[in-house]
Amino acid sequence: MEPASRVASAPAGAKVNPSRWVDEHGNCLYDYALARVRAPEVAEDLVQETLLAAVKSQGRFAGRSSERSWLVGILKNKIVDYYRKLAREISFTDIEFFKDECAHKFVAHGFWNHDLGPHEWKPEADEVMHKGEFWCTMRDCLSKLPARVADVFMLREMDDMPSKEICAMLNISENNLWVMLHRARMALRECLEIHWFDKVNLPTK
Amino acid sequence: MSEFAKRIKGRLVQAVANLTPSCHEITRLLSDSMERRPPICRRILIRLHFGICIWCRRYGDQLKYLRRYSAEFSREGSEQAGPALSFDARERIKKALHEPDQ
Repeated sequence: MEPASRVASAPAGAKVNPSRWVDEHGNCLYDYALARVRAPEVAEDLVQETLLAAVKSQGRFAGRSSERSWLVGILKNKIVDYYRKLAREISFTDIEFFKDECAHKFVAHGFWNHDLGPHEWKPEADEVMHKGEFWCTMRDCLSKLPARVADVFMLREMDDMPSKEICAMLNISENNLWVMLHRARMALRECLEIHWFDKVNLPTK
Repeated sequence: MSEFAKRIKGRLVQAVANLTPSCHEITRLLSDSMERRPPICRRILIRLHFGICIWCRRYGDQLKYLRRYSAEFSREGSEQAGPALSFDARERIKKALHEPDQ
């Protein structure tokens, strides 16, 4: 929970004690970074780089937004830089994952096998967001995605980054991106159904 | 429903099944439509298909839920059960921030 929103906590030009930033915002920034890069050491480095950049440019913080959202803004850019750099070293295309796209659930001509099609999630689907354990299940399901697919999915879904921007940043084709997103969604849907919704609801046909 | 009506309904369902993409193709189209709005004719075919296929309808709904959950996850999920910055990491960062420009 963000402490009382600090809008320009110090007069312009006065120096801020950066240790306070670590104490007050460190966890939030770390969680934000970790959800997007999924490697603790990388997340720590990004937090450090963010705060270093913030210390250097604190004179430019005009207090238009809260301190935290300003810091998160810097972190967002650091994350983009991180991915751009990584994409120069490794390939972000993974079209092997979930290649069969649940082929066993479809009968001839591609129609759902009636016994294996999606189950009804409602009304639970509207209520889960208030349940802490659901987010643990969500986290577990996300962790089952292979690294590059998870990266791509997180970037697209968490921050609503447009497809074209993701393709440019990660150096992947739009078609490959869409294939990866389709398969990630299919896999996640499956995982949540098995590990949450089927356990809560009685499966209905 | 009379036998005659049942037969007509059966024929209609068959016709729609032949006319619209297969369920497997529909799952891909539904995902793609979250990236780019499909042309009107495709949207009509998907709607028609929904009329005869409850599973694809559910799949479409569930993709929307997935999107809501994912967006919320970054706010809610990490606050709920996310790991904290370790003590060592905090101290390391504080030290780096107080040192002169490196």
